[in-house]
Amino acid sequence: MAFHLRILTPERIVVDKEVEYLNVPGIEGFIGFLSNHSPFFTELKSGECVIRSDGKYCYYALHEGYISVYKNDVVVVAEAVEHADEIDVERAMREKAKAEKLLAAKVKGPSARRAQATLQKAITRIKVARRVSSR
Amino acid sequence: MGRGKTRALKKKITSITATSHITRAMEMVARAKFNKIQKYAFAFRPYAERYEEMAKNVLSDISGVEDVLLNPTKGKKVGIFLITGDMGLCGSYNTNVVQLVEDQISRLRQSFAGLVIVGAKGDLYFKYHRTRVLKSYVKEYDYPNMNIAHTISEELIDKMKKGTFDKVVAVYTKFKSMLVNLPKVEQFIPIPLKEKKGMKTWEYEFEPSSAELIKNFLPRYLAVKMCSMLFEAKMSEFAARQTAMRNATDNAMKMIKDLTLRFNKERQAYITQEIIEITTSAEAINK
Repeated sequence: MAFHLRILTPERIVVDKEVEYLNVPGIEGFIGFLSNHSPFFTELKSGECVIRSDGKYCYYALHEGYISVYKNDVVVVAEAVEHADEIDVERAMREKAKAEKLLAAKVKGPSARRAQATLQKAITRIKVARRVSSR
Repeated sequence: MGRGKTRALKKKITSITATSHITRAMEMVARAKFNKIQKYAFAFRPYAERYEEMAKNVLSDISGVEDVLLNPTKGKKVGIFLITGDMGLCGSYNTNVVQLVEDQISRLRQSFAGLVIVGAKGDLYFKYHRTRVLKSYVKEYDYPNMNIAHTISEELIDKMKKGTFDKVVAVYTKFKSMLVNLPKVEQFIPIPLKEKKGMKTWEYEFEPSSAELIKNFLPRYLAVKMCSMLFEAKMSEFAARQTAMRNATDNAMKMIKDLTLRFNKERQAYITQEIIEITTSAEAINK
């Protein structure tokens, strides 16, 4: 049993294929989807996204978006999505350190929010990249 | 008659040739930039379409959510959001949208609340004419992206929440084809909802509640819409510039052709006259 999944970002279409299982970081925790799920809509936060197609698992770092499920047609729109192989761990580490430094300096307002978001993204990237390389 | 006239013509031909070189170079630059933007825009399009579809389904499914971005208010203050180019030399591209804004302002009269402008050309025009410009973004970006789209749409949302505006209409140029651009007026906020009649409701399950989700969803949806508008406008701008520059080059070529013809005629007339002078004087001597 499979369903159609599309993952899109402003730059490209990341995934457009039949998959068997999808797990995404919902705003209230991870949610898994199999085929024939009831219509569903929620916000996604930065986190790991797992797909199984043809029995193989794929890992993605996904950052902030929405998921809409309707009749085996699943659409995910996100600000950015990276396949585990595309992630530059060193860069993520640098970004993490920079964001942490900013937050430690107690910046306020929108720049604090931005730093928080950058930190979250970097943590997700590192997590996803590590998970793949550790196997 | 004589050398003086042909020399003046020659000078003119040289100068127009130089101009044609410049316009041709500018056309090529515009074409290169257009291709690049089109690539980005086409990559962005499916994303925007899915967002649009989601918004339609989700917003038709909810009821009783109160939000200034969704529900029309009683107030009449209309803000106009305008996208122009940062540079000229693109035919009537800038004047078309500016004219459309002028029409809107004169129609709105008292309910006109102010302008938010993207692009140096619009900013210059309306500041010169002392129209109320509340905020302008001049040379903020080369290629449209979500960051700048977020910044601009946040500004508009902020003005809605503060009550500066009760409604925002966007004036921009929609890209139809290389030759046809469509200056357009569109309601931006509150989000125009299409008639619900005959539309299937998807009966979504929402998590968390729909009200909470919608609160975050609307600004993002507007940012995506903003980004599409910026893309449309930028594509139109470069298409317009490309066409304008091609026309300029063609015109220059035609002028060079005409002037060369005139130059040759003058030269021939001069030579003929000289021969006549020589032969007549020779005949006079022989007599």
